[in-house]
Amino acid sequence: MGTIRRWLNGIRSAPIKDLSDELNQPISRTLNNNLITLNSIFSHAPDLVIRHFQLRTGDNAVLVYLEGLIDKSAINNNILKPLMYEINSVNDFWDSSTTIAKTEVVTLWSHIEKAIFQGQSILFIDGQDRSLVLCTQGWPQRAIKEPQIESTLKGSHQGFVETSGQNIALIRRYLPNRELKIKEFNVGSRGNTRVSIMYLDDVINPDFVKEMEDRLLQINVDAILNTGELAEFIEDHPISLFPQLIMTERPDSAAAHILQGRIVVVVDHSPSVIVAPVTFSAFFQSVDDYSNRWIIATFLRLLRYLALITTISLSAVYIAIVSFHYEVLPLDLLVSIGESREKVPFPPIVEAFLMEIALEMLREAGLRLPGPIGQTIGVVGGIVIGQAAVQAGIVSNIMVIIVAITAISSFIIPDYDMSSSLRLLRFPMMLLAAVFGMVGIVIGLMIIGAHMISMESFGISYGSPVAPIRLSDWKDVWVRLPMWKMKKRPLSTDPTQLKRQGANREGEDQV
Amino acid sequence: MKKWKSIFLACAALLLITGCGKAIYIEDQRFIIAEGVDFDEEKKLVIYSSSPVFSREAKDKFKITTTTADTMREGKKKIEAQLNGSFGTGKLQSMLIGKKMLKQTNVLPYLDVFFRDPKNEINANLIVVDGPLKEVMYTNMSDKGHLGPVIKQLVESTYKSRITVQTTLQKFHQQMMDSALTPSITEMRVEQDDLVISGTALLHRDGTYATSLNNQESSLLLLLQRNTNKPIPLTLPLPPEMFQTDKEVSYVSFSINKVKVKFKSKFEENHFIIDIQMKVQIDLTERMFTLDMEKQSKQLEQAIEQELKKECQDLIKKAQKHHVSPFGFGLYVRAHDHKNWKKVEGNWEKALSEATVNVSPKVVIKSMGVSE
Repeated sequence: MGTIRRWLNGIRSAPIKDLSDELNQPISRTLNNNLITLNSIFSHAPDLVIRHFQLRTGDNAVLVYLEGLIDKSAINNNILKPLMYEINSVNDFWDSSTTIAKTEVVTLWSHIEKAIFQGQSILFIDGQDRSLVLCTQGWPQRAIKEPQIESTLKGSHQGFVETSGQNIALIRRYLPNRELKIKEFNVGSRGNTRVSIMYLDDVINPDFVKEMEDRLLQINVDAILNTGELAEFIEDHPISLFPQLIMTERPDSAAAHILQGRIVVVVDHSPSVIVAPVTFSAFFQSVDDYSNRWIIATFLRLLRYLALITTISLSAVYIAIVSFHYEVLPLDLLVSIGESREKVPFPPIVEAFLMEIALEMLREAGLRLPGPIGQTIGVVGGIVIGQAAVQAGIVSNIMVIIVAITAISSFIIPDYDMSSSLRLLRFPMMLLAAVFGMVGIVIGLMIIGAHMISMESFGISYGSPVAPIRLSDWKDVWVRLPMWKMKKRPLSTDPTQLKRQGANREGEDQV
Repeated sequence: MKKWKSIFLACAALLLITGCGKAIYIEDQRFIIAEGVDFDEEKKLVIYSSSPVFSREAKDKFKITTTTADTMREGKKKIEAQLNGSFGTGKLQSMLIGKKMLKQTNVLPYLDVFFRDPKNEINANLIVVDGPLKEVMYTNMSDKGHLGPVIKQLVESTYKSRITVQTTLQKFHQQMMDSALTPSITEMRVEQDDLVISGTALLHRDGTYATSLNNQESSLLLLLQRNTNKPIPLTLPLPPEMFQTDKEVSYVSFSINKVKVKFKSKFEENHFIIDIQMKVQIDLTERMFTLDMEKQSKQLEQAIEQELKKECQDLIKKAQKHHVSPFGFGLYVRAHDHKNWKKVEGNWEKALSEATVNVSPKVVIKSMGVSE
C-alpha cells in the first residue's frame, strides 16, 4: 500500500542513500577499520582497487583508487616504488616521499570519497589517523582535434575536449593575464560536474558574474551531462525558439568573447563552452570574419543576414505568391511557374511541407549515419528524390529550387543552434503564408521581431545593438570594419572598461 | 493569464483581417494576357481573349476565346463560362481595339471596368487594330509563340526603335481626360500572316478615330512630343540636284540624340502663333551619295534642316487638318501662357488647327560614323 501511495503522490525515486553519518567521520587509526568503512561506502564497485603493501619501514599500507581513472605508471613509478624501497621513516613520508606533483593530507571520509571519484588515489597507513590524497588522475582522453561543427579555414584548428582542465588551459593560452579569473562550481548531486566560469575581472560588468553565480548555484539536478543541459537551466527565456547562449567548441572564439566582456562557462565532460550574455547579432559572427580581409568579411556578414531572411521567409513568400499574389510575378515567370505547378496535385503548402520535411529528414539522417553512408544519403536525397519527385509530378521544379535555396541559406548561418531555430521557424511562416498570404508573412515577421527585441540575456537586450540602437557597435555587426578601427569593446556587453586598443596606425589620433 | 488573453484576442482579430480573399492557385487561374474588343454588325461588342494553357496534354499552349456581349464585364462572365479555371485579368499585357469600333464610338466608357476594378491591370498596352480583329487573334503563331507575349514584345521593341508610340491604358485615360492633348495609340495590322506595327492612330477629342501616321511620321511625332530620351532614327530623301546625285541614292539616315527645344507662343488676332526652335544633334548613320564632308558638311546640315522642317510642318498640317493635337503643344501653352489658354480652353484642337506653327530645326552633325 505504501508503494502505491507513494506512486500516487508522485514520489517514485528514493533520495540518494544517506551515508552522512559515516562520511562525516574522520578515519580510524586502524587500517582494518578503515577498510571496513571503505567497503561500506564503495559496495559493488569492482573497479575499486585496494592495494596492500608494506612500506620500507615495515608498516602496512593500503593504496586505494578506481581503476581506469588513474595513471598506472604514476602509481607504479612515483608512489609504490619510492614508498616500498626508498623511504626511511614513516613521519617524513607525508611531504617528501612520493614523486607526485600534488598531494594533500585528509582525515574526513567525505573528502576521501570525493577524491577517489575524481581519479585520485588515497594512501592509508596502519596506525595513522590521516591519509594522503595523491593526484594520479589519468582517465581516457581524446586528443585535441579540429572542431567539428564550427570549422574555419584560417582560424586555429584546436577544439575543446571533454576535460575541463584542458579546456581551461586552451583558453588561458590565449589570455595569459592575471585578470583572467576562474571560479569553480560543482553542479548536480549525482554527477557532481565541475563547472567553471571564466572572465576578465577588470573588463566584465560585475553584475553578470553575480547573476551567473546565482543561477549556477540554484541548479538542483541529478547530473549535468552536457553543456546544452546546463544552458537550459541558466538561460533567460526557456520557451523561446532562439538560442540565448552561444555554445562554442573553439578556444579562440571563447577567448574573443572573454575579451569583449563576456563570461565563458566551461563544463566538464563537454567539448563546448557556454558564452553569456549574447545578442542576436553575435550568432552571425564567425571567427573566420576576423582572419579574412575586412571587405570580404563584411560581404560574408551581409550574406548571412540575407540568408537569415531567405531561410525564414523564402518558401513562405513563394507560397503566398502562387496562392494569392500572382500579380507580382513577371509574365514569363508566371507562365513557367504555372506550367510546372500544373501537374502537381497538391496545393503549394502541402507541396512545400513535403519537400521541407523530406529535407529535414535527409539532414538528420545524414547526421546520424556514419560518415561514408551519410554522403550517400546526400546523393540519394538531393538528386534521386528531388529529380524523381519532380518527374512523378509530386512537387514542381520551382519548389525544389526554393527548398534548395532555403536549405543552403540555413547552412550559411555559422551557429548551429541558431540555424536550427531559424529552420524550424520556416514552418509556422509557411502556414501563415498559406492562410493569410503576404499579410501573414508580414505579421509573422513582426511577431518574430517583437519577440526578439523583447528578450533579454543576463539583463542585456537580445536585439542590441540594433534595438536599442547602439551605433558605435554597428561597426562589428552589419559590417566588419578593419580591426584598427574597432577601438572599443562592444557596448552591448556593458563592460566596465571600454578601451580595446590605442592608436595603431601612423598618423591616427589617440582615442 | 492576462498575457494569454491578449494573445488569444490578437489571434482572433488576425483571423478576421486577412484582406487577401480566398487563395487561388496559379495553375487554376486563366490569365488573360491579351484581350481584344470590336463591334460586330449590330454594334454589339465582340470580345476576344488569349490565355496560356497550363496542361501537359493540351497541344496548343494558349487558348483564344470569343464572345459577344453588351459590356466588358458581361463579356467576362461569358468568357468564364468557356474557360476551365477562374478568369484573371491582373496580368493583361495588351488591349486590342478594332478600328471599326473606334470609328463609330468613344471606347473609354467600354474600358471603364479597367479603371474601376483595382484587380484589373491598367499598365496594359493599348493597340488599335487596322482590319478585322479576328485576323490578329487567329494569326498563325506556330513560329512566334504565345499571342499575348508576342504582341507585348512587338509593341515594346517598336517603341524602342521609335517607330510608334506606346500608350498604356492609364496613359490613354490621361490623354482622354486632358484637354490639351488628344490620344495617340499604337496601330497594328496583319500582313501576310504576320503582325506588323504600322504606325500610330490619332483620335479626336471625342475619342473617335481621326487619322493614322506611318512609321516615319510616328518618329517625328515622338520628336515633336519631345520624347527623346532614346535616339530617334530617321531616313530623309534629299533633293538629288543639291548634291549632284541620282534620285535612287539621294537618301540620308541619321539618329537624333539630343534635342533642345525653345518654345514660343503668341496670341494675335484670335489665333495662335507657335514658334518651335529645335537644336538637333544628329549622328549620321547612312549616306548613300558621295560627299566631301570636310567642305560640305554645312551644306548637308542645311539640307537635312530643310527636309526635317518640311516633314514636321507636314505632320503638323496633317494634325491641324484632322483637328487633333497629339503633340502636347497645349501643355506648354497652358503652363506658360495661361491667360490666352483660358480663351481657347475646351476647344484647343480648333485653336490649334487655326494656329500658325513654325518649326525651325537647327541641325548639328555630331558624328559621321567610322568611315572617311
